Formats: sequence, structure tokens, C-alpha cells
Amino acid sequence: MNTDNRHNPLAAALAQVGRWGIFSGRVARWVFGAPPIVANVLEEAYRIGVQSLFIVCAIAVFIGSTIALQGYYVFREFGGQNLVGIFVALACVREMGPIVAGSMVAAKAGTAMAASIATMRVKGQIDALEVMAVNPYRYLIAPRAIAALIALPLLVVFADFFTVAAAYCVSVYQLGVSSGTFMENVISCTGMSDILFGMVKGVAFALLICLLSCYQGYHSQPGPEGVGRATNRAVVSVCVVCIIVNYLLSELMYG
Amino acid sequence: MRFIIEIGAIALFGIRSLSWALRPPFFFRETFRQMARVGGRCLLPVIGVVAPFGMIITLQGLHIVNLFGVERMLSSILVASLLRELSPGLSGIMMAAQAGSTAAAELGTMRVKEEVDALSVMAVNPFQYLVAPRLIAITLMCPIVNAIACFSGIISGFVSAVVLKGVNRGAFMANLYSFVDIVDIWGGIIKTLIFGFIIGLISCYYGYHVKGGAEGVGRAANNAVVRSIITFLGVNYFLTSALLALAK
Repeated sequence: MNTDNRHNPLAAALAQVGRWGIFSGRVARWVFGAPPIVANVLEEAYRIGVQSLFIVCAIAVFIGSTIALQGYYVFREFGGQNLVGIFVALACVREMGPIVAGSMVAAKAGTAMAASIATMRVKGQIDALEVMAVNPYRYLIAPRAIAALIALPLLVVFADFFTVAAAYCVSVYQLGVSSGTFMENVISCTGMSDILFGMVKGVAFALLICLLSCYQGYHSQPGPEGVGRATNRAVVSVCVVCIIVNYLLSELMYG
Repeated sequence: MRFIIEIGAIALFGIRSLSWALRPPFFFRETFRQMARVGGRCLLPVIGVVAPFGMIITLQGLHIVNLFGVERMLSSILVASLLRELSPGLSGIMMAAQAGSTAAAELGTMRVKEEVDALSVMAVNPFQYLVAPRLIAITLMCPIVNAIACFSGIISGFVSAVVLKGVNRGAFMANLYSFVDIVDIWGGIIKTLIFGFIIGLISCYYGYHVKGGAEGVGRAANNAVVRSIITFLGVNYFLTSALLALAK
């Protein structure tokens, strides 16, 4: 299975994709096929969900305020600046909420997952687990997957709220849009389906973040360079794949 | 409290790096090598993120312009939002993820393996040889990568709107730059220069001050990415306010 693809980058890339597919299959077997180890799931849910909450909300505030600013000036070109609520509702709830939650969980929890599993690999702790007849997929990776599936849709809802709240503050207090108009536009343009689709995107992102980060950590190279490189590859591959999947899901849901 | 101490330490680190960068000996070859590496490795991730985003903007933008009945303005909205906000922001995030974590991980590994101390013992200033080239490389490469990414975003928006959704090609091309001012273009360059500097500074700081072996390297890379993204997105809001007020 480990043929030498040093001189053929395309074959090497495809081999990586295949290896990731096999890895995901093994993880899926332990996520759906066996009762979860609840203690690990809860600990990982705390790490992924609660510790990412602050950064998701902070970035959501920054991005929401920037969207309000940009939307206001673009709409002013054709005189619709008081209708910036429509733009904010569509952009923030449909797209920016899931993307902010997904990117920030990838940047913080994803790199933490990749780094911790890579460190365990480098220190030989994963081999030690196998020697003790504990399946590392069941003990280490499946709990992280289940925890991410629980945590990320909830973080998407938080991101939705904070982007719209920040956009409200910027529009009403800095740009002078009427508060009633803004709220009326936001409420009329946002439906329950938008929030639910956002949570579905959150589920997709959760799976991608966990599987890609844990794969990079699990198959990391030895030494501290291995840990650094695993962390690097994890966050870059997660971000690119999440944005592409986000586009495909948006086409599916809103196209 | 720790947060304020951290900011102070980063600022002091930045002042030290810049003051050493301006003193001879200058490591030009090392700086160019780092610039080539940063640009080469960051280009694909950044394009991989900005191009789908261009398609998302046309997808959602179509709903909005159909509400107002101004479908011909779809390309104007695409280019204006890409140039002003999305391309600098997304390029910054991917540069932080790729170049920032690489710089932090490399410096951290060198610190863990005591190579930084070995350099000091050999009378090579680690600030001049390790930190300054990476800092300058990331700062200068960010606007260049942003420009290429913006171009790719416009192309992908064109493909999505004209080829996939059937928007009129002539109307799309004619209205590309209706909302764009020269302030937007050099505003984007200034934004990405500042973002690049923040990313380079924070990544090199966390890489240089790694403690605790392989685990510390992972933690440094993580901190570098997360904290530089938070910082430049916060700075971005104020920059956007200033630049939009200027463009009026």
C-alpha cells in the first residue's frame, strides 16, 4: 500500500485522498457501530465547543460589523442604504455564520486536535494504546468526531446571532439606519429554514474538520517538525475543503 | 492581565525585530528565499478559498439583485465586495493558516532543537537571520497574493454567473468596475500590508518563544494562527471604516 510516489505529485495527492478515505471509513465504523465512550466525548465537547465559543463570538462580531459597513456603502450607490438589513440577514445567516463558526473551530479546535494527536504519535503513545488492546480510533478519534457533531451546529447559531447583533449596532449607532427598519428587514428575510440549513452546514463542517485534522495528526512524521507540519496541513486543508463544500451546499440549498 | 502583558511582549518583540532588521549585516538571499517559499506555498490555498467565495457571492448576490431588479449590477457587487473586503480578509486568514503556522512551527522546532542558541553562539543574530526575513517576506507577499486571489475570485464569479446561471455576459463585463474607486485598490494594498505585518509578527513571536518540546511547537502554531486572525480581523473593522470614509 505504501508505494513510492515521490516523483509523481498527482499520484501522491490521489494516494493521500485514498488514505484519508480509508481513515474516514474506519472512524465512521466506530462512530456509528459502537456505543461511544461518554467521558471522552464530553471532554472533547468541552474542548471543541466551550473553548471555541469566545473566539467564534469575537470573530462573528468583527465580521458582522464589517458586513454592515460594506453593505451600507454598496447599497448607497442605488439609494437602498436603509435596506441594509436585507443584505445583512442574507449574508450573515446564510453564509457568514456557518463559515465563521467552521473556520474558527478549524483554526482553534482543529489545530489543537491535529497537534495533540500528532504529539501522541510522536511520543509513541498511540502505539502504546494499541499494545494495551485499546483501539485508538474508538478511544481517541471517534469521541472527537461525535463531540464536533454536537458542538458545531450550536456554535453556528451563536455565530449567526453575534454577526447580526454586531451589524445592528454598527448600522443603527454608527451609520444612522433606523432601528425599526433594520430589525423588520432582518426578521422578514430570515426564515427558520435559513438557520436550519446553517446548522446542516455546521454538521458537514464538523465532520470535515474532525476527519481532516485527526488524519493529519494520526499520520504525522516523527519529531517536532512532524507536529508543526501536521498542524499546518490540517488547518489549510480544512479551510479550503470547508469553503468548497460550503459553496456546494449553498448551491444545493439556495440555488 | 496576561492578555495585556502578552500584547506588550509582542510589541517589544516587534520593535526589536525591526531595529535589528535595519542594521547590517543584511541577509538578502535569505529574505528572497523566504519570500519565494511564502508566495509559492500560500498561492494555492488562497486561490482555493477566494475562488469558491466568488462563486458564493454571485450565487447569493443574484437573490439580492433580483429583489431590487438590478441584475446588471451583479458584477459590480461582486468586484466591490471582493476588492474591498473579502479578498484581503480571506487572503489574510489563509496566509495566517499557511505562512503563519509554518513560520511559527519552523522557529519553534529550531528553538526546541536548540538551533537558535547555536546560532547565537556562532555570533549570527537570530533576529537578523531567522525573524527579520520571515517577517519581511510575509508582509510583502500578502498584497501580491491578495491581488492574484482577487483576480481569481472575479474569474470564478464570471464563470458562476455567466456560464452557470445565465446572466448576460455583456452586462456582466460592462458593469464590473462601476462601484470601484482607486481608493479601494490602494486601500486593499494597505490593508494586506498591515495584515501581513501582524501575521508575521505574531507568528514569529510565538515560534521564537516556544517552551516544552514537540507539544509546545503544536501549541505555538495554534496560538499563532488563532491570535493573528483575531487581531487582524479586529484591526480590519477600523481600517474599513477609515477607508470607506475616505472613498466617499
